[in-house]
Amino acid sequence: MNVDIEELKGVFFEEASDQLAEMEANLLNLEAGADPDLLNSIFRCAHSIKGGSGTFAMTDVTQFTHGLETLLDSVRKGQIEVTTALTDLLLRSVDHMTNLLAVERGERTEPVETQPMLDEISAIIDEQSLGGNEVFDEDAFRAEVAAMLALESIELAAEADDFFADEPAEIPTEVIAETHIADSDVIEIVGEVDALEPDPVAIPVAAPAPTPALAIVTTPVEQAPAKPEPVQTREQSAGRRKADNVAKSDNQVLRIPTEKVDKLINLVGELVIHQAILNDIAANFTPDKAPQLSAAVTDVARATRELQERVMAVRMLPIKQAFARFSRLVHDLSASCGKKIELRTAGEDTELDKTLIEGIADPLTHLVRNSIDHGIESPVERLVAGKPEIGHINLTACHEGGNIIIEVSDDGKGLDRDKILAKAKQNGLVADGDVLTDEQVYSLIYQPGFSTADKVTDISGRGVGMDIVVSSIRALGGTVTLSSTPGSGTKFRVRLPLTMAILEGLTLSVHDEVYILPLTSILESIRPRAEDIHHLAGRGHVVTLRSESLPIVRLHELFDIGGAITDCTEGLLVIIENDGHKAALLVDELIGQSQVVVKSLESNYRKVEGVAGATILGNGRVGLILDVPALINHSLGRQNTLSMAA
Amino acid sequence: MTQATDTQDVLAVESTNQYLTFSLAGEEYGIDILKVQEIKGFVPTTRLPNSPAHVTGVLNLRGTIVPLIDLRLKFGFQPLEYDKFNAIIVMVVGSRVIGTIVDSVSEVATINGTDIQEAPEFGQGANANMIAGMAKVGEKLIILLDIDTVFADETATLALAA
Repeated sequence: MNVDIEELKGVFFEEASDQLAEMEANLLNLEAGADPDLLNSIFRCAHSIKGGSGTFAMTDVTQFTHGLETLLDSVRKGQIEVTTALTDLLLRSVDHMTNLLAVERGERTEPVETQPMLDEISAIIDEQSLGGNEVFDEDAFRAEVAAMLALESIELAAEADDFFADEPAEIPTEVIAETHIADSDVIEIVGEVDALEPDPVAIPVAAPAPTPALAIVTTPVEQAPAKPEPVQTREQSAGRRKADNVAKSDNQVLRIPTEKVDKLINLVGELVIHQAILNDIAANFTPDKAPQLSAAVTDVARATRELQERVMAVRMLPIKQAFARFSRLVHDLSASCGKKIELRTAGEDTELDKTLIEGIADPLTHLVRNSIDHGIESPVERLVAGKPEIGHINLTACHEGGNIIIEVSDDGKGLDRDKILAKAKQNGLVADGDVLTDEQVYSLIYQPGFSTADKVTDISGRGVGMDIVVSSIRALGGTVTLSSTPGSGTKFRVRLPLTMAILEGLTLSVHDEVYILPLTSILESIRPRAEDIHHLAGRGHVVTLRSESLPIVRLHELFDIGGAITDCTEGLLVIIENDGHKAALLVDELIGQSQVVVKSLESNYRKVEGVAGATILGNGRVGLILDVPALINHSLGRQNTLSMAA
Repeated sequence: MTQATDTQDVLAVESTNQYLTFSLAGEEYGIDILKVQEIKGFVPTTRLPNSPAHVTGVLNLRGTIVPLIDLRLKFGFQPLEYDKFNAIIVMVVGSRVIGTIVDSVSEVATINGTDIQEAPEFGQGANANMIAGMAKVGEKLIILLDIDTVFADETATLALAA
C-alpha cells in the first residue's frame, strides 16, 4: 500500500482553507453578538485544523491552533467576553493560520513567527479568565493523533490509491464508524479523508455516540454529519465553507453536490439504454424500422442535450463564493479608513461558471475597495450631508436573460463629474472646448493611470485599477457600466455571460467561410433597401433603420475574404449590439442557430483580432466565433482594437 | 545514447537520436521524434483572419483547435497547392500543439550524434538558429530543425498578429 501522503495533505489543505473561511465568516458575525452556535462552530474549525495538522506533523500549526483553541474554549465557557479587541485578535489568528498553512504548502517562503501571536493569546487568557493555565499537553495530544491515525489507516487500507486514481467516480458511500474516539473527531477525520471505500472498511467497536450513520459524500463538510451540536444558523455561514478555494488552490478541485452527480449518472444510464436501442435497430435494419430509428435518434439527442446541460451545471457554483471574501474586506478596510460601512449582499445563490467566479473575484474586490475608499464618506461628512452615519455597500447578483448581472453600489458621495473632467483636461485626455455626456465623463475613469484621489492611500488611488477591472471583465466576455448620482452614490453594473463554455450562436456565412455570432449580441437581421444605405464621406457606409443610423461593418473587408457579397442590398445586415453601441454587420447568408462549445484559440495559438474563440461545427471543421465588442469598436473608429487586414 | 561527445554539446537537440524526416521543396528535413505527436493526412482548415500568410488556418484535432503552419511559406519557399497526398505533422512545442504541413513524410531515421555536423554560419538572421545541425544518411543530406526556435513566434504568448 503506497499512499501518496501529498495527496492526503492536499485534501487537508483544502479542508483547512474551508475551515478558515468559515471561521472568518463566523467571527465577523460574532461582532454582531455572541451567539453560542457561532462560537461552537468557530471552535470546531480550529479543532479540526489542529487535528489535521497534527496528523501531518505540522507542529507550528498544531501548537498555534492549540493555543487558539484554549482561548476559544474560555470564550465559549463565557470566561472571556467577546469584545472587538477579541474578534480582532481572532481574525488575525485566522490570517496567521492562513500564513502558516501557506508556509506548509510551500507557497510562502518567509517564515511566520508564531510565538508573538501565542503570547498575545495567552495574555488575554491570563488577563481575563480565571486560569489560562492549560498547557499544551503533548502526550494527550499525541494519543489523540494516534487514535486518529489508526482510524485513518483503516481508510488508507481501503485502497486509497484507487480512490485517487478515479477521482470522478466518487460515489457516496456510507460507513458506520463507531469508535472510542469522540464522534466529533471521527467526523473530522472523515472530513480529512474525504471518502471511504465501502467494502473493506468494517470498523468494529462499541458505540458511545448517538450519532446516526455518517453519510460521507463528495462534499463531506457541507452535507455530512448530522452533528448533535447545532449547526450554524446564520444565513451567511450556510454553505460558506467551500468558499475561498477559489483563488488559492492550483490543483483545481471542484466540489460538486452529490445530487448533481446523481443526475449525471442517471442521464448517462439513459444514454446507454438509448444507444443499445440504436445498436439493436442498426443490427437488423429494415426500411420499415425507419420510424423507430428516428424516435431513437430523437431520444439520444434529448438525452445528450440534457447531459450537456447537466455537465455544464456541474461547473456552476453559487456566486456566494466570490462574495464571501467581502465581509472581511469591508470590515478591515472600513476600520482602517475610519468609516462605518455595512455590506449587504443579495442573490448569493445565483450560479455561474467556476471560471467566471474565479475571474470576477479580483475585479469585484477592486470595485468594493473603490467604494470604501472613494465612495463612502467619513461619518462626519455623512452626518453633515444629512445621511445616516453608517454607509452601505450593496453587492447583488441576479440572472437576466442569458447573463448574470452583478452590481456593486454604494450610498456615498458619487462621482465628482467636475473633478474627473478637470483631471482629464489636466492629463490632456479631454480638450478644453469638448462637451461630454455624463457617461463619457464617467468612462474616463477607465483610462489607465487615471485617479482623482487627492492622496494615494494603501487601498486605492494610484490610478491602476479601473482599466484593469474593465479589461479583466472584458476578458471574461462581460461588460461594465456605471451610473452615479452626486451625493447619493455610485453603482457599477457588471454583466457576464453565464458560462464561457457553451454559447448560443447564429451561424452565418461570408463567401465560403462560416462564422458564429453570439446570439446574445444580435438584435435583428435585415435586408436593407438601397435608399436606406448612405455613404458618409470618409466614414464608410451607414444604414438607416427606424430613423437610427448604424455603421456598416463589412466582414469580408475586415477579414479579407474574396468573392463575398459586397452590395448591402444583396447580402444581409445583422444588427449587433454591445455596451449600448450598435452596428450592422454585412454577411452573405444566415445558416442557422445552434449551441456551440467554445474552444480556445489561445491554448495552441494566440488571440486573433476580431475572433473571440472557435468551435467545432457539425461537419467537424473549425468555426470561428466573432468578437462582437471588437467589431463594434472597429465600427466606432477605434481602429487600434482591430487591425484592418484590407 | 552513448554517442555524445564534447563537440555535440552545442546542439540544441535532445539526447534522442531518432528523427522524423520529411521533404519540403526538394530538401529533406528532420525533427526530433519526441516532439512529434502524430502524423495525419491533409484536412481542410479554417482560415484565420488577420494572421500571417504561413498560418494556413486552424483544424480540429479531436476537439482541440490546432493551428496549421505552412512550412513552405514560413521558410519563404514557393507555395504549393496542398491536397490529400500531403501530410500534416502534429508536434508538441512547449505546451502548445502545432500542426505543420509538409510535402511528404519520409521515414524515421536514426542519426548518431557523431554524424551530425554543425550548421554552417548564416549570419545573424532570425532564421539562423532554426537549424540544429546537418546529417548525412546514406546519400541524403538531412537538415535537422530546432523546432522550438522555428515556432518561437507562434508560441510566444504575447505576440501580436502580424
